Amino acid sequence: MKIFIDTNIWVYQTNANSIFHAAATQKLIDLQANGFIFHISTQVLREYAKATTLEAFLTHSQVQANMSRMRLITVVLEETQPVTVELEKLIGRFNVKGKSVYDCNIVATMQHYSVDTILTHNVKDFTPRYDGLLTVLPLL
Amino acid sequence: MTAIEKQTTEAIYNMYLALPDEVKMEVKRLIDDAVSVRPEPFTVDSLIKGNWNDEGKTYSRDELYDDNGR
Repeated sequence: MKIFIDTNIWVYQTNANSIFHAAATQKLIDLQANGFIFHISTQVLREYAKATTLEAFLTHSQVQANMSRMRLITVVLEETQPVTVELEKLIGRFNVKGKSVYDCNIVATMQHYSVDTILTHNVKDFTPRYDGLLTVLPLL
Repeated sequence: MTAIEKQTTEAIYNMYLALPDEVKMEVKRLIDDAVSVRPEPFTVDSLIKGNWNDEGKTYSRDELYDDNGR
């Protein structure tokens, strides 16, 4: 079974001080134990790097190491031309505007690679808009 | 591979070749997906941990990107 792990989960999981750190860690362990295979996309790797380097929360070498590890413990979905074609369709179908395009690109990537479940703390970014296309699993 | 297996494999391959391109792409994607290498297991120590005050950030894309998309 495939599951897409959103950027916020990785940020919380790598911040021991976060109030969501324990929940993110436990959720990943539980999902793996239940046979889910973690998927991310190149977009998630970029966003993770942005979130953790912006105020030097982690050193560059730590961020690099974590990005490398994330590529090993997940299946990384590439943002290919067919993903962009899917994005174009979804933007029109759901009247997507502004920064919501970035969430829409996650959905387009999931659609193209047939991943229909996402773990995220930001449930409202995906539901109810994309109900029917994907299942949103909340962190809490 | 036995003779019957070889014959069956060739028949399936010929059926694949006869498919329209878009269907071929979907078949190829499904096969690639099925045989793709499984990732390494995730453990609590897989990733290096930091220790910062996230000030209640949600790391939604509304926060992650500025108005110029950066």
